[in-house]
Amino acid sequence: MWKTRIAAPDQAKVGESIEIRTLIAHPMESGFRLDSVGQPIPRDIITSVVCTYAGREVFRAQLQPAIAANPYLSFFVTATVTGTLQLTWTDQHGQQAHAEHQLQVTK
Amino acid sequence: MPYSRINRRQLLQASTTGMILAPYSSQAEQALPQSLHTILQQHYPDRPLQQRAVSITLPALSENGNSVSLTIAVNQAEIPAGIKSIAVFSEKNPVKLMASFQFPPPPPQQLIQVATRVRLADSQTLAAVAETYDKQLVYATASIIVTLAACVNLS
Repeated sequence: MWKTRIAAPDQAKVGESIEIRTLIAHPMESGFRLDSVGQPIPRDIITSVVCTYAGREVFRAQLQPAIAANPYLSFFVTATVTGTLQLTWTDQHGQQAHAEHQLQVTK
Repeated sequence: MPYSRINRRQLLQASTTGMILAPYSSQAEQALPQSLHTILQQHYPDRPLQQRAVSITLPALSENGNSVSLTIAVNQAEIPAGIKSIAVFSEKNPVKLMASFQFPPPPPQQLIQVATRVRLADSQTLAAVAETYDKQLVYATASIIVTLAACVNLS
């Protein structure tokens, strides 16, 4: 399975906007390239990235071939309660990768 | 700050192609190119688009179209209803829709800012269209010069 990374703060204050930066090692083959014998290389991309925070969906991205290999994504989430940030990447064949990050929220 | 990102070599390369270098394309209001206008019309038929509230941060020049950093931000003071989704369109890539992002309803995200890295097939203009929860469409455009285009052998 693909290697994933999440960079996010471990602690935040209630109401604070925190940046979540994510990375997944994936070729994101666009389907527009040819191999050494001139045959098209089939498309193989991650199509969806979903972030849930304490069980609730807070961000969703639909990726297209225009996203570079090893898709990097950064977005902001408002800290409300202590909980888990869970990321799910899904590729075009329905294969999934998961990653988690614990967020401690203080008053 | 913007000028510090462009070194002497990049400046010379850009000037020899006769291009005028804007320090950061997001800072200048730009007209929508006809081809991009057509693409947006196809995705949002019969819906008015307003050029405001959204900003795109994109380098003015990229030496490699295979990975170009792209940041889209929304000034939420201008959007009281909140942002529902953002879609990014390319003028010259084979797939015109580059990516789309959804922001589920409350509690409202305090900051709508998304960054990623994209492939660009040619020097071109990008558009980021944000849809608000009261069904308005706001957008911004940014132009980039790509020295080495992302590999596109099929058209």
